[in-house]
Amino acid sequence: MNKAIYKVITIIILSLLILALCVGIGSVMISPAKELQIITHKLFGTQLDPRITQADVSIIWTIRMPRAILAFLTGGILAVCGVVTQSVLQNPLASSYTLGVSSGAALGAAIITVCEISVPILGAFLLPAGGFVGGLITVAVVMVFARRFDGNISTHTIILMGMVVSMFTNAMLTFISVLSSEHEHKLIAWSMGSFNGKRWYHTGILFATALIGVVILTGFHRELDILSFGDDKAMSLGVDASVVKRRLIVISALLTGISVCFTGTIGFVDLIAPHVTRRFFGASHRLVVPLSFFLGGMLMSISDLCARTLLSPLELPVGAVTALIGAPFFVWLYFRRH
Amino acid sequence: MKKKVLCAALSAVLSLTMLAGCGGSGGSSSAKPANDRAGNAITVPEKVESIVSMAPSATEVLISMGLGDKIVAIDTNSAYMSFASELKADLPQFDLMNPDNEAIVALSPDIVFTTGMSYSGGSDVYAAVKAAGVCVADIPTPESISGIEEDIRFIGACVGASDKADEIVQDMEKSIKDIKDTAASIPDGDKKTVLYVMSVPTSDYPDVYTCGKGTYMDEVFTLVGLKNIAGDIDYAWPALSEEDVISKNPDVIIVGDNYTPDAVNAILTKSGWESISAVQNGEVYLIDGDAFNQPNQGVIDAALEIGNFAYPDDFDDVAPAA
Repeated sequence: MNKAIYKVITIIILSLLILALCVGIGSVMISPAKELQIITHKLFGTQLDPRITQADVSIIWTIRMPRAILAFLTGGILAVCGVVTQSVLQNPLASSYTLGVSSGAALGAAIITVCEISVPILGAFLLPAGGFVGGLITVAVVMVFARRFDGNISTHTIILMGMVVSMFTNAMLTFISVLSSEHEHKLIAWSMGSFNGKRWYHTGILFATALIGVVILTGFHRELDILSFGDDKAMSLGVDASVVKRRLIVISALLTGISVCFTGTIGFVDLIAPHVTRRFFGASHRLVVPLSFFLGGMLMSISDLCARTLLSPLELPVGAVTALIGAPFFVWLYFRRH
Repeated sequence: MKKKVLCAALSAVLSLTMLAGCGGSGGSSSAKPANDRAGNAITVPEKVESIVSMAPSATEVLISMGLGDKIVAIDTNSAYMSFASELKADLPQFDLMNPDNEAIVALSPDIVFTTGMSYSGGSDVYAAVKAAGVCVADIPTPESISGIEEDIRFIGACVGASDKADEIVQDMEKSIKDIKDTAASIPDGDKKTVLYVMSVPTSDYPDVYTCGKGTYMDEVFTLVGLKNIAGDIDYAWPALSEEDVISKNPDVIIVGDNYTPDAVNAILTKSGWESISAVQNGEVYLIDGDAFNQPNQGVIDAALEIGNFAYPDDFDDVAPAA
């Protein structure tokens, strides 16, 4: 137990260091000391060093901090949902994306962009809201179909249905983008994912989501442990597999939907972070669920840092970076084990 | 000896006729250009009676030459412009990124003017029109004001309105001289930095699209005595990050986005942009984006408008030539 606490503390300190790094580095470099001053100035109203310009404050506090934290939270949420979906579906390649959340969200956002729909109350949240609704509808369709096919909702049925529905929504997305070439650029940008331009209100919403989500899902750690033995074993241990499965899938779809709708679809973190966490911290979900949040967060933060600095002033889509860093890392990890 | 004299005489005659030949093709007003502005060889018909204009800037130039009634079809962008009302009603319209080649050929125009934008996809979207023997004259986006003037002269020469083209260019030159003189009177210490915003950034599309080195827009800013904060970037149309904009701290922000409602206010109230001088001093101005974004004589009007925004005291007595 003590060993676990050390590991947890190390992970949290490492996360904070990486966040500080992400906030400091950019087109304008800002030293950790200045960074700390600006943060304490904003939080506690302390005096600012006169050498710190108003532009530095804007860049750190309004532009970079919400972005860096948003990236961390998104990575964390995706990783936790990845852990849960992989355990529930007993498939190491599954994630909430397998269930069609991302393609549904992309389709929802595309419909709003192309139709130039505007809802005055939602304002800047219109696109995220559209993505969220699109993602949820897709998952609902997958679950309803899966249940129709077999009452126990076996994992193969869910994965198969998820694939079929995802492919169908992707085809509709392609159809829409061909029909409206003037929006094609925007649609592509959205489907690649980015944390660019996000502000504190986005970060706030995602922070609340992450906190609630991680606490709830960690609460399911016993069921998750049992489910990973298989449906039959779970039944014999007194867990109603189909009910628990449905709940867990809906919760992770909701969480993924919320994160995807702010940032667009960003792959790979949901796939890798769970495996890395299990590799370092064993299989017990009591640790794996919360720790995968931090590992996913770090992975996403570093990816976003690379996305905006590697080819500066050009910015890479963060989804490309997660795959670029993630794929070789995954292969290395896999071969090391064998 | 005799032979030598004959040689000299022959070569003299030859060179004279050659000179005469050159003079003839260059001086005559009816001569048509042998190449379009992209350098492709073209054969322009002697008489141009029907024109398809697939570039908003060319459409406007043709109208100002008094040739609006010869235009038989336009691109869909031209149709949105303010000058579209001076065209014949219900002209056929084609998408300039994906023009309907068959329909253009069916109109059998004498010439089709196109913009470089149509070729930005990497393929020749007018291939079938050219194959049908129609003269397609491409005008790539000019990189400088003198490039714009040459484009106008080129259009004039193609349609047999070189005199009109010269008039337009002379008016431009006159205004440019006035603007230059005014800008020269502004002390270097008082010169401001400027950011051009093509479309107002939002949280979903936060990049700031602007004009960099080698654009006529950058030249316009220099002309009126402003320093473009993206003027040292080697891309023509770079996307700046918000961080870049805040750290470069422009004194003036010119907004060329006529499609975002309340664009100036959106920039003035944008979170994180409070520290920018232009925002603090309220120096954020909306210009007629259609005038500035279309590379033709309208650019000079835009230059005057920008000059008046940035240095109202210096530019208030500079009037447009036309």
